[in-house]
Amino acid sequence: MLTSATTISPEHCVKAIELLAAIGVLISTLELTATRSLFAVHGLLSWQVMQTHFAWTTRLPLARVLSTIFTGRGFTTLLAVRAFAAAALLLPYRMDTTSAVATAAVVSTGLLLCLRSPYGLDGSDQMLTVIMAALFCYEIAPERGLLRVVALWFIAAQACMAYFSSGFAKLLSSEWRTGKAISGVLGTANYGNRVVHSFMVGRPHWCCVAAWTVIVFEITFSVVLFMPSHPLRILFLAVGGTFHVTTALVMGLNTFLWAFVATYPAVIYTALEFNGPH
Amino acid sequence: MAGTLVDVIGTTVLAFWLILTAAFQTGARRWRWLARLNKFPLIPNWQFFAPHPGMHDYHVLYRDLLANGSVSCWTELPQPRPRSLLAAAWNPAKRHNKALFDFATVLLRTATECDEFVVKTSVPYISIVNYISELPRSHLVVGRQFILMATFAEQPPRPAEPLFLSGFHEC
Repeated sequence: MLTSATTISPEHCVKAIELLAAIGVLISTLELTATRSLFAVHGLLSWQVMQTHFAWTTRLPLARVLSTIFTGRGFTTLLAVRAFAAAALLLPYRMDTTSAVATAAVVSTGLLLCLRSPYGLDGSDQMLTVIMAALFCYEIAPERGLLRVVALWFIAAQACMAYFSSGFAKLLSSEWRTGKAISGVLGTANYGNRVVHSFMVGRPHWCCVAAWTVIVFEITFSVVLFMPSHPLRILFLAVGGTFHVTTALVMGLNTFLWAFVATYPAVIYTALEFNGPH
Repeated sequence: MAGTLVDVIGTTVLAFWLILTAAFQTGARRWRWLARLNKFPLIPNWQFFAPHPGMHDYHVLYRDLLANGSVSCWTELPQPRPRSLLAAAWNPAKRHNKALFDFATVLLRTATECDEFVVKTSVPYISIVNYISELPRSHLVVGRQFILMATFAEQPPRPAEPLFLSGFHEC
């Protein structure tokens, strides 16, 4: 649908974003459910300790309310609400208000999870919250209102900023410019990969090429908004998709794939708005 | 009228959010107040693995103080199993690993910048003590301490480094 079209309606664009982002939210929520022991009383992310992160979360009566939400059945309910809301966004046919309610539920549960533990979150959680908040704005906007377009521009702008900021910070780093970062990260247990690391470790030139490929791709991502050719745009975004599939396979960054690829329909929409169909 | 109001408020909120996100990425001193306020964190930091990527793994080990005054050998907290290809779709272990990485990062920064009291009352410190205090132990154990170590996958090989040693805490 996206690759063959020379124009894209905001409705189609939002449907594609919802689908991809909802898959990301659903996976991340089910992963949290699978690691419930982390959130137990003596788990690494125990609420009894985490609530001291902010002074105001330890004060009564709020502390009692939060304790009900963030422990035991309350926390299970929180995750269930988030998972059902994400699943609702995957339904092909739904009531008009479903998307607004579901995106609002995903955003509010996302913020509650941040409050539950700011530790252990990653950039994909943030991007999914950003996307869902923008989708909520889209859903509550008037039929032909400015906010509908602004919500899609916002997602595209956040994606461009994320890539540029990440690429520019890498450009300033000697570890990245020399390629050391590639072999260094690949050698770790957290984000590494034994097979790829053993291949790259004796090949500094390969590491350098890989590092500069990432830097150049990330810094130039925003160019996609101004590309005059639609096929070229799609090709560039396919490179982005391949990049995220690679990081999912090699580094285990599975939810980054869904979170960032979910922004691509908004990027295409914004690019078409800027350049017109070609 | 209500529609226009939603339009105006929604557009303003998204525009502000975008501007604050852009400002936050600069890391400029004038935006430090934003970092302090952004504990939730609503303003994303998009600088993944940069400028200094984590090229090491953190390890938490603990040992016991026994009633007779002797200490046990160090035991490492269970490490995650090596990832399979399935992790590209389903990777629940990343939460545990990232939480430990975040704890270590904050704990080391706090230890560098603050006094012992602040360190020992920090969330990462108490979280690790809370976690290890409930791990199985013999009835002879009267206290437990942890050490934070880093291992590196660099060439030439670099030995593991002890980074932080806690005091003994009663069990």
